[in-house]
Amino acid sequence: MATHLLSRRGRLWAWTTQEFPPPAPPYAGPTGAAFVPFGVGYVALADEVRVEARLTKTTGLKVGMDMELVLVPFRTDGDGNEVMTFAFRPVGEA
Amino acid sequence: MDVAIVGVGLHPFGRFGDRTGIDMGAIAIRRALADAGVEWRDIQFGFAGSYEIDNPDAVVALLGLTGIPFTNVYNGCATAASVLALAADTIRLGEHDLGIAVGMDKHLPGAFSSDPRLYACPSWYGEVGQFLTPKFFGMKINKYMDDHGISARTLARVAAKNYRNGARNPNAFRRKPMSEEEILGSRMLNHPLTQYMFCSPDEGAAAVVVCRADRAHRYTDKPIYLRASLVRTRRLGAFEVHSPWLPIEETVGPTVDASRAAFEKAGIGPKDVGVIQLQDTDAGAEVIHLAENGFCADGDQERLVADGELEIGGRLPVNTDGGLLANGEPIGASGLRQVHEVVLQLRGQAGERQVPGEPKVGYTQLYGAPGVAGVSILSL
Repeated sequence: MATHLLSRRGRLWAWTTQEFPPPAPPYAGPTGAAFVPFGVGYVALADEVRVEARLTKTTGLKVGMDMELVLVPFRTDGDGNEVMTFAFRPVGEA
Repeated sequence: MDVAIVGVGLHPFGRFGDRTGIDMGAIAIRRALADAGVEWRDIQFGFAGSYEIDNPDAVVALLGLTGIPFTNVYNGCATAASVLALAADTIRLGEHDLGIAVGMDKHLPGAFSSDPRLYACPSWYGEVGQFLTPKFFGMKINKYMDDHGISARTLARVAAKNYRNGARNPNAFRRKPMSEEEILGSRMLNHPLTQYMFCSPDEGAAAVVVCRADRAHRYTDKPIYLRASLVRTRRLGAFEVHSPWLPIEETVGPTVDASRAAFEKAGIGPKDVGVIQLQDTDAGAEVIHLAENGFCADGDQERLVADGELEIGGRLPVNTDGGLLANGEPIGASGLRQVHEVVLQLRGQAGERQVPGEPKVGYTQLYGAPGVAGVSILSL
């Protein structure tokens, strides 16, 4: 086993939306009224591997669009700390 | 040794309060025995499938303790296909002459959930909300629609057809027809799939009596021959449920592999098939599976569905009993429900939903987590 650094950028290969809270556990994010729908998709990273990840948006997504890795807030833990997760957003969008 | 089906039995699918899964299994078995005209003591072996029930073979407590070999099977959404394949193989090996294949389940409502580590997935995958099957089906059909020009209207038409077929099936869970507008307008769950484009986990049981083909006429005038029954799992590169990553190089899914192998084994082609049961976890899955099983080219579904070719009176009647959409999915029983329906259709006993023109060959397909498919081909 060796660590291999993957590209932070890739192309969107497939996508959908998650519009209902996933069953918890194993889901550890906000549920009920606090749940915010999110995008999910596969991003092909520089022709090396397709990875499945959260997407920052649920609309305006298109297969083949350029995506980049970002960190986004996921949940707040019991001590009030913000827990981050990784996600992909269309390149050039805020 | 060839295999024949000489009896089928079903406990209706739906929700049944306090009635246990084991009770439903026993009812399905009794109905299959009555259909075959045999007694429980005549049965020489059994296979039983379930997800929720640890020991579905405990059904013998309700039927009689006769000492027969009875093996439990769980194989994801292909559990019932695996039960049938194992029971058939036992006959093919010449080990026994007459056996039972039964599936039963009793699920709670809502999406299936589990610990991702039990599926060889990392725990973060579940924590962030990606370890669930509906969003996989959403992604797969969304991409397929993009690649092959399938519209959301086609998904609604498929779902409406299956609810309509379910309305003609006294054993179905959902027996109310639903309009395409209602289906399209129901809550979006995983784009482009709305609530009524998805099936629900529910309860039910189904059983089949399998027999050495050369003795089948002792029990029935119309044995249904099992020409192929097999299971395949995913290969590297297939786009599958619960895959945190995939290689760049793509390959076809296990349904394609199982279907090709089954047609080859049966010496029958898709054009010979007169009645088809496909895994419609969602309306999109039925659309994709029609092509994955060789019944049409990718993209042809748009026209086939609009022209009514998948209807009971069409050229490719699919999910004539309402499929998973109208029956729900008790995992252990689902594939044997498909076989039950095909047997009734081939015998000409499907009543209100009988496919016209006396179909001679039937086909069933299951697909699901964690990337497993089962196919059976049956004929007169």
